[in-house]
Amino acid sequence: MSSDQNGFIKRSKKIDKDSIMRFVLMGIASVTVLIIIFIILFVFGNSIGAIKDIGIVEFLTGNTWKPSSDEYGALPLITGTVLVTAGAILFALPIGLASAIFISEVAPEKARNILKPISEVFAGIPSVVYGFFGLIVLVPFLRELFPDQLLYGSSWLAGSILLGIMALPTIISVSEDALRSVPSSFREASVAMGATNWETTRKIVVPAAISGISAAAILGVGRAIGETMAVMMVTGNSPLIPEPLWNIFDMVRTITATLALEIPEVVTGSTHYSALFLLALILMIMVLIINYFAKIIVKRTKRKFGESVSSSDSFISKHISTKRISSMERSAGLTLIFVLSMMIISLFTNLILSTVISVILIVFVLIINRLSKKIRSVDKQKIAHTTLFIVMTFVCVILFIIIGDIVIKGLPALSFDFITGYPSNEGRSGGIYPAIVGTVKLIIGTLIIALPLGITSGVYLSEYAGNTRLTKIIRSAIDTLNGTPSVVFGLFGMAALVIFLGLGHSLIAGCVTLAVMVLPVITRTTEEAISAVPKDLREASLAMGASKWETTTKIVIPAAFSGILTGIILSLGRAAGETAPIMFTATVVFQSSIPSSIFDPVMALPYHLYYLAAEVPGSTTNQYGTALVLLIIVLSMFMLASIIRYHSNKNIKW
Amino acid sequence: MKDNVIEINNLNLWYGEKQALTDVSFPIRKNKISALIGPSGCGKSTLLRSINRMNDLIAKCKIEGQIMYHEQNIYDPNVDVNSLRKKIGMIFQKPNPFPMSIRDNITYGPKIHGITDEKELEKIVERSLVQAALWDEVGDRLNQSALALSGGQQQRLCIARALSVSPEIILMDEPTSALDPLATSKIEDLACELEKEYTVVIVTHNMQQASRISDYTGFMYIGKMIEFGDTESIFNRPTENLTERYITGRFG
Amino acid sequence: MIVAVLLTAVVCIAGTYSLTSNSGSSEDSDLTVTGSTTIQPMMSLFQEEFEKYASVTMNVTGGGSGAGATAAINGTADIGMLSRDLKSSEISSGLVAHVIAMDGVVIIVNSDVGVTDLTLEQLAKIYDGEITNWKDVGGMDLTIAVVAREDGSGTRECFETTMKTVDSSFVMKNDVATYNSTGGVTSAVNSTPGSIGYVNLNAVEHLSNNTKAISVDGIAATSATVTDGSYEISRNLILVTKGEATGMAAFFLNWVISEDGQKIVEDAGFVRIA
Repeated sequence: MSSDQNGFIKRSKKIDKDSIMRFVLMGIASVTVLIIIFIILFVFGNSIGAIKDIGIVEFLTGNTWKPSSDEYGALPLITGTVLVTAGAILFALPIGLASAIFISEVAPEKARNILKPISEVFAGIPSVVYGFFGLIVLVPFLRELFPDQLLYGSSWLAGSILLGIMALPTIISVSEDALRSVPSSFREASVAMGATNWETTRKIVVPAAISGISAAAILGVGRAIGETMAVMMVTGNSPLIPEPLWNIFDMVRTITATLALEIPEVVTGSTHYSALFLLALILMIMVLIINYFAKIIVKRTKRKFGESVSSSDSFISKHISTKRISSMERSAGLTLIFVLSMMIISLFTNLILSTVISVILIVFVLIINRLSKKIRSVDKQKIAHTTLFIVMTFVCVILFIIIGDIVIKGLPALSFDFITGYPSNEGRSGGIYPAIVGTVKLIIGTLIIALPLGITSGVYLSEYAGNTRLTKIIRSAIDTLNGTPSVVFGLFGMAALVIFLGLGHSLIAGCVTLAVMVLPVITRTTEEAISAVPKDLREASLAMGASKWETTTKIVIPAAFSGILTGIILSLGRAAGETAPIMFTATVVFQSSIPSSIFDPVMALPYHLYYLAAEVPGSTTNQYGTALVLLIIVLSMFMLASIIRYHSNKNIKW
Repeated sequence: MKDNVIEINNLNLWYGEKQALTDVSFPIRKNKISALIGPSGCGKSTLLRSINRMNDLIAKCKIEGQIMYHEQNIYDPNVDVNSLRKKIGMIFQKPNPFPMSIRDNITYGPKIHGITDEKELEKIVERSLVQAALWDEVGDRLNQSALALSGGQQQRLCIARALSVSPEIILMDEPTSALDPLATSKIEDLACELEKEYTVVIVTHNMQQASRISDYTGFMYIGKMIEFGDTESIFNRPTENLTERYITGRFG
Repeated sequence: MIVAVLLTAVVCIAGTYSLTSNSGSSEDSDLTVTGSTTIQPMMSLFQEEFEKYASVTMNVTGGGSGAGATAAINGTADIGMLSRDLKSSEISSGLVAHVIAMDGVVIIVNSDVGVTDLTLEQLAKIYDGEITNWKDVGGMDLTIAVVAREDGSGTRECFETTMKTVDSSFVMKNDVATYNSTGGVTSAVNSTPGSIGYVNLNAVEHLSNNTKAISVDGIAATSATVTDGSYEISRNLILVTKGEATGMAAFFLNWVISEDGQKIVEDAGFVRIA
């Protein structure tokens, strides 16, 4: 600013701060892009051998996966991944969305402040714990339920349910944020026309939040498709295509499980090694395709509901008018129901009975549909709200079962010596102090690296980058990275940091690897949170002569704080509970003293848990003790973050 | 003329392919209230936003022509747009206080422009709230959240906020259309008070408001300035047929 | 925020540089051991004692026998742990094997199957799918649920090599529940009715009530039967170095083969070689 009497003539000597900041932000966001490119190149480079030796067509269509006999047919693995993920989303999306709607639109404020942190607690439970819960509780439970269909219990069904549960916190949290940022003026306008709360929710709020909800779904799919440990423990891992295709009771094997099962013992550089990387590459491509289709769906939905959602009147009037479902859509829906029910029921009984039951089902649906027209809106709302409440209760019950199992079995292990002592007798006795310290260091280190990088990238993407092709590519790359299995991150970390840079198994290698893994979540949720800040706040600031940078840092980011915090919380959960990324880069199973340098390896709670469960028979008590301690640490962090967010939310209401 | 603080010369504006302003020329006189009236879509808001270059925020916006302020074209590349906006403040149609305390809303601007002394900031807060006729109502609860105020109070807070950086000109984009009659009349009284020290340009949908408070009025229609002159003449003796028809309510 | 990022970047770069110049000194006093997850628990017992004995810091990581060999070859580890014998390619890369213990692969079944012994031929037929019900081998009328280790596991390789001695065309059937650890297999067998699986010798003393170890061809798996070879499914556990062992690594290897070390082998549930 010149001291000119008129005060607004420039600055020919003065460098434009906004341009600098824009440049800096772009630079930092590019680091994120570079990392992504790096990882993709790494995976691709290592898979070339398999493309040459085996041939892409043979790989993709071959029915038998038996590396020891040189057979590399990946079709059963790809099918396994698709089926388990599809099942997981089928389970998690409706339940997650229903819970999010309940929390955001139905629950009273006090309940909301408890329920949202509860759903986030799910994210704090480590994948290994989910895996063991799945193996020890879920699988036998399913076997009790379906004794004739399930020989092993481990199955596609078990895998989908478990993965679905694991994807729930992401879907609930991000959807709920999206729903809550729909301006209250929309709700008011709708209710003012005589619509009930439920109609408003269904027809106005949810469509308006569709962009955030689809982000939630994509993140949820990413979570499910990249999960390694848990799914490996409950799907049985036999590389077969289910027979018939929709037989949810058959054992399947996913790509991620194959990676985890086979990479440790494979010979580096062999065809088998290459084939495994080719699998990883295929997985990342699948995520890319899913994201692409999800974006198309969002575009279509946005077009249907009116592009400028900011003009609430036209949006609402387009939308609240009673729409007649076209008869084609109706018959399509009925056919779908018929086919689905035929598929499911035929798993239990013979064809004739299945047909009969399915027909009865269709008739039933038609009758309900007819009757529902006669039900008053107020009653419809009661039914809807009750259903939502039941779903929410169901989610809470699952959580309590999982946590209860850990607490009951872990409590006997907790003692002062357990927390402050070192392991002995292979970990069956003694304490876990070095693992506690190691986990804390890993969390802190990861946050230090990922937070600035991720938030900066998110700010850049939403405030500075236009909607150009380049930014679209960057977003796709970030979403793809989110779907990359944790084991691939571990391998990348191992190859790039441990071996190439010569860091060896070390705290720093682990932190960088974990940071790269949680980067997409932080970036995406930051971006969404910032986009949700209303335009007029920015305008007010700019109109006063604040620069774009000042507006962004002093107005926009504080207003988006709570959404950003959600991203941080979700990443905390990942960082603390993931085993695969640190297994190859940072951890050892025993230390007799706390290391002093970041270049030394560490013990860590999730890895310790995994190690005890996998390799140390007879250590059950300490396994649960370890799980309990990990849970306590992570949950305390979550609670702290929730309290902060609760307080910051009290000031923001628009 | 020396009394003209702003001169708009042959301003043309396009949003992409569509031309929103055509050959607009008129002066804004110092310490007076100038009103822009016209039917919906005539370009009055667009014109207003050109004066403090808020249209820069829109990607496809193209401008030809000049807006002279202190003998300098504000669209000259040498101009520091942030300093410009310090001198030309804006009040929006929907009150948009920051989600902060009342005090923080008002100190935001001064802090941005380099004032850090606590005492000075306090003085600015009081002065701005007094000038915005809000001090009596909120002077004792400056720490309260701005969002707790009524609509009319929020709008006056936005005015106080704009005043906090000591602008020369205040642009008001339909400032009372979201407010009740009592709040509206308070704001109108306020505008008349403000013109003693500041220059005010107001866009309004409400002809009667224009005739009540403004010294000069410009009538716009489909992107053109049809007629501009002192308010009394415009309303009683319009020279253009279109103006007459609008004023008498034959269309609108 | 920018300050934080720049600071982080500076730290990272500085750290990397200081590291690559440091890589000599800190590792000299550390002993890095990598490889088989079967040996890993026993190695932690070694570490607990040896660190007191020799005042050295040991870093022990898993990753599997393959990873152990690779790490020893390229120098990332001082010692590799393998639960199988060296392949010829690994020997030609310069690795030298030191046998430190032996391990038996024990067959376990769910206690409801009603069988306490199987012949090798029966085992092979169960695992390749020819026999599918326990009543065909003298047990209850229950479908056999087959559990195995992952393709690439040393334990599995040992098992299948032995199967091939009675059926040279042995190939495991496809619908088998696969797990990548001893823990996974024992959990599965423990909770699945009619199941059969195989685990390492050190798991036997910790089996829960639902699971029993059975004998093969009339011989139960014990230290004695593994040592004298009468138990047929067994293998060597080896530590490898590139070239002959020197310095701290040699010191450690000698200690492992001494009475102190071998006592630990026994405590860990494996079979001593001395």
